[in-house]
Amino acid sequence: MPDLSPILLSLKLALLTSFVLLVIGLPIAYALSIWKSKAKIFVESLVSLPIILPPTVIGFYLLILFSPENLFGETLANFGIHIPFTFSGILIASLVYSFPFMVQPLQKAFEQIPQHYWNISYTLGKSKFETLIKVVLPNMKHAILTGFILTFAHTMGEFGVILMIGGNIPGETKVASLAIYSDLEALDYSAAHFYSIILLTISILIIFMVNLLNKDKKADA
Amino acid sequence: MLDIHIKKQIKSVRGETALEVQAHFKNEAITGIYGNSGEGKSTLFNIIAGLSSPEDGTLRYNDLVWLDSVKEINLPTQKRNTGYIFQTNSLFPHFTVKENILFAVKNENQHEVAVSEILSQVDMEGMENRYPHQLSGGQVQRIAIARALAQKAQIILMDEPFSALDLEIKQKLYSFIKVFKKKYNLMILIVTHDINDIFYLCDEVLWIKNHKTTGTIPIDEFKKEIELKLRNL
Repeated sequence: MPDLSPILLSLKLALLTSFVLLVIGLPIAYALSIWKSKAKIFVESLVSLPIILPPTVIGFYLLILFSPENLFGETLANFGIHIPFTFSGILIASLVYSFPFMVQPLQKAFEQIPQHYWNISYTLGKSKFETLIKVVLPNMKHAILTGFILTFAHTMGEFGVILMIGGNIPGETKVASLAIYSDLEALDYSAAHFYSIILLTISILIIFMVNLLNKDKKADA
Repeated sequence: MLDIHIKKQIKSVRGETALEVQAHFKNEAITGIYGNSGEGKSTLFNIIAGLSSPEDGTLRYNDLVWLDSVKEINLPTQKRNTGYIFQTNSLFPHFTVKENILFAVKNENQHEVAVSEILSQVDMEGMENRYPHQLSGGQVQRIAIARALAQKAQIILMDEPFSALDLEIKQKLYSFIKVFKKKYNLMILIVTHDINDIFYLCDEVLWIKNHKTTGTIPIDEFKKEIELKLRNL
């Protein structure tokens, strides 16, 4: 029986990335949805950048940023915080790499909420926060679930960015996709198959869920 | 009564212009806000509801100052207690009819509100657990009125409430609104570009021409003006 820790590590990383990105992605997506400035296109391009940027480039610059050889990394190291080749490192890399997969669907959903939902709620005595929690977010539940699932799926399949900043340390940064690579290099095809089939199954389930959500959304509309 | 005297810059097809409104709306009356598209009718509603602020002006409801640009008073929307009904989607789609009505009631008073009683007032008994998409356009507007009653709104703002409805439903809603105004002593303001809505429903009219108006006129005077306009066509 192959070691299950790479699968568990991938799941832990994907879940954490999705939860953290949901929390930070909601206010950012809302701010982008209401922001009216010529600079908006620049910020939106920056948000989308990880989609087209080679993961190795992201990993490389994160490695440089957090290296104790540089001021920022050295300052963190002085506080006892070491990012490269740790789980925290691959989590930060995942947050950067999957950022657009959460923010883009959320921003689109905020933009599609009719302004008069906010207005009616205010006239009914509700504050902006109450309106957000009780009216706006429930009406964008499909987008929240889609963003969460896509981020989860994207993180499960990460390879280059994790290899760059995390190395391939068993139990710490060796996620399932890296385990497949290592097992292939070691000509251990059965272990590589084992991890691959699990990732394949998870991917099929995720695609199925996204399609199911989209079908529900169309039915609701 | 509601006294309004405001000036606000708005964007129109001819560029930026000033919306200037002076009016005195009576309690227990239905007043139509009439004018062509882009005259600033909905902007006026947003100013009354507190959703938009004019550069200059005052707004008083009975003895209470809602807005005074000189004294920098601007009562927030949440405290003005106006019922706002839109052309479509006046109800929240993720709530049932009952939840939509209870949403208008302060949490601490929710247990005292008999939703079924309010629904019977608008002839919508037994609809508590339906979602808005399971209702017709006319039913949605009636539930929105029921919600304004639950909210205990004294002013109801209706922005083109009939334009998505067919004639038969429209006429039923006309008589329904008239009955309600009397029963609950409501001030109802209706934005419309359809003179039929005004003829059937309104006691007075505020006619916005070239983004300006100087006051409401009685319905008979409005009818005469329209007839004169038609004769001169």
